[in-house]
Amino acid sequence: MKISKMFISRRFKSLVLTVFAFISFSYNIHAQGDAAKGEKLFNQNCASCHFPDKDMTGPALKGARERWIENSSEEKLYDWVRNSTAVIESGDAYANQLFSEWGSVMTAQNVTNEQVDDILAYVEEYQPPVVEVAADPGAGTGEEQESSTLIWWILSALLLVVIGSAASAKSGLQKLANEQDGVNTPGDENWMTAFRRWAWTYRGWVGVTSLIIVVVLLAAGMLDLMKIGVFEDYKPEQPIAYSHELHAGKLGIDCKYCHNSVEKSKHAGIPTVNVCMNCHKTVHEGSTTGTEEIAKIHEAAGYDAATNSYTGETKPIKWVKVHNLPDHVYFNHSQHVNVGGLDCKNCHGNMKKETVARVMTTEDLNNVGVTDEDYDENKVKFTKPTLTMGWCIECHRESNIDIANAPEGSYYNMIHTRLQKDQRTYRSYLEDDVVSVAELGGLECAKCHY
Amino acid sequence: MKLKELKYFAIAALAGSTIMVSCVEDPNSPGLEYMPDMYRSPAAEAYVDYAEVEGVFDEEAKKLVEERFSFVPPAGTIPYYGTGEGADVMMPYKHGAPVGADKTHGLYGVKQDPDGRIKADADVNPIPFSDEVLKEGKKLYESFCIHCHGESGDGQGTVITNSLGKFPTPGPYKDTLTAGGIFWTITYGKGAMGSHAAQLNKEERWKIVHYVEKLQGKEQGVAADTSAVVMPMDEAAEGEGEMIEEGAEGHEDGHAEGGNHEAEEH
Repeated sequence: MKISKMFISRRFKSLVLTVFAFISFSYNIHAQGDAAKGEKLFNQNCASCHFPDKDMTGPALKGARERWIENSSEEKLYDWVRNSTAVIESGDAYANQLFSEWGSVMTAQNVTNEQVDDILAYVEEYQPPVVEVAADPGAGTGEEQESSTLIWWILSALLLVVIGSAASAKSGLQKLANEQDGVNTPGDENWMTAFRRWAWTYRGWVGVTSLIIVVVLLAAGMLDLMKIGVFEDYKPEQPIAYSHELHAGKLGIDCKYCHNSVEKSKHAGIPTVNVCMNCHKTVHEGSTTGTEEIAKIHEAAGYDAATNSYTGETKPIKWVKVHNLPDHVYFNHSQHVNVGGLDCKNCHGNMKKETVARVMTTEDLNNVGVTDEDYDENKVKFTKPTLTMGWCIECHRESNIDIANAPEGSYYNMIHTRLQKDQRTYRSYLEDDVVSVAELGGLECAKCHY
Repeated sequence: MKLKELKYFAIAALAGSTIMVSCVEDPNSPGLEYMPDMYRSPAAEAYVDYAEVEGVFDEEAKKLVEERFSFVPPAGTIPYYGTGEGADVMMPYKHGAPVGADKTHGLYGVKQDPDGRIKADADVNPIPFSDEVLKEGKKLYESFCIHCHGESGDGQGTVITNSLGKFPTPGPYKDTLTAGGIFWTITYGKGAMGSHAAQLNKEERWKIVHYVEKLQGKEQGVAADTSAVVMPMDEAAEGEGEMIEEGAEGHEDGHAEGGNHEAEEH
């Protein structure tokens, strides 16, 4: 009996030991943490202020456990995550050092010790994603085009050389033939009289050729005159190599986020540098230009990327204005966007495929929604060059206003009420079943020139 | 003799073609202007550099432009939004920015208050809830917030998902965030998020707050009873606080000429 009791208790002991060993083993696993669980927790609780491997609003979390063990204690680390203010107030030297260094209190997190372990396990395992270097197709084709024009010039130059040498060979042969025939070429004849003689001999041909040349020159001159005041394709170099393709296209930022006065003002607005800093306070390195271009933003904003703080020494960015209208033209963005209900792409084309701003060509505007799928097709198809009066007029003629359904109290609603009292005018407008911008005075000179 | 002529001819032809090639359009030139003084006139226009007037480049004018092109509103200025109903929404914000906001968020000269965030929690949205307001709030959210905070506010916007870990996720909404807290955060920013006071005026910010509360799944329209609304405007803002506050919001009038940029002539 006693023996059996002893046996049981011995078995019990070993059982307890195994359980204990198991528990301590699993505790060890916990201390290591579960990186998969940690990733989710990290993204939910930590990611808005901490990067695993870089300093941001708060310090990089890699090595946080070692830093705490070295400077304070591991226990304090868990306390800090749950309530950093309490740790600071307890007088812990490292906690106070962190607070003075980073300048802000960490938001208290509702997590258990195990969850902290999970998060730290994820952080230690974290590897930054590999950035795939995208080939830049734009740069290549531009160069190619330039070199192909060069080839044409060289070819035509060679052709001229061939013609010239053939002509001189011919004249040499002619001279030789003349000498053989005994015809004397007058030696004192200068090239002018020789040319006159030659022109008179072939007067029919010379007359027709000169007429053609004059007509061609006149036509070319006319076409060149038509280009005066046309700024299509104007794409000046800007102080910072900003890319609309990346920001508006890939990252999906709305045009109005940066050009935010478009609904309130005459100007769509060039964003102030604080708008850039909303993201570039965190993003210090671009995927194509590295730190070079973003450093220019930091310089303008007075931001020291090394210490992650503003210095107060700002500097203007001198952007180059792209869309210029002469002084005698009044154009208002808010009228076209708010009242006219136009979208940016109607006049500025698909900026999701452009780098720095460019005056779009008529062709680009007509291709919106046709050759790309970023936007719907523009209703008005243009024939006149962009930013010219003909271009404005075209759109004012072809755009219609849904005046009958204009919201109560709006400008068009007011005109609708007035038109209902003047049925004759209203009917004349409605002959083609729609009221166009032109019919409501969209072609009046004083609308845009005053 | 013949060979020499040929050589001269070839040299001339090559030189000529080089000149022609170099005439290829300069991308930094807008092209010929009909009456350039109408494009760059002495009349004041935003984003135009007046240093070049009628073809003459004036160094003194250039200096003037560089120094004074972008004005910060004079101290104590508040934007005028009329006297109509709801205009008092635009009155200066009474809660201060967190301590050190000038260093962390570039909010130079903005009133700082260590308890600003906590005090802001009690604010009630002064704009009564309506479907119209919600629609406008949604539109604003889609222009100003969605690219980071995502369609449902889960912090998975296109900037986060398409930037290969370069930009931190803002995380999902905390249920504890109150209307006043959301407004405070949009106004001064928090952590990686910058202040959006320059892009959104107070009315727009409160409209966004309505929409964010809808995303949080909070019951809407409870505070629609205007009599119960505590206007979060500043009774004591007539001193420095007000002046400082507008320093952060100097660009609200939509002209966006901050101290930080200017347009240059070509």
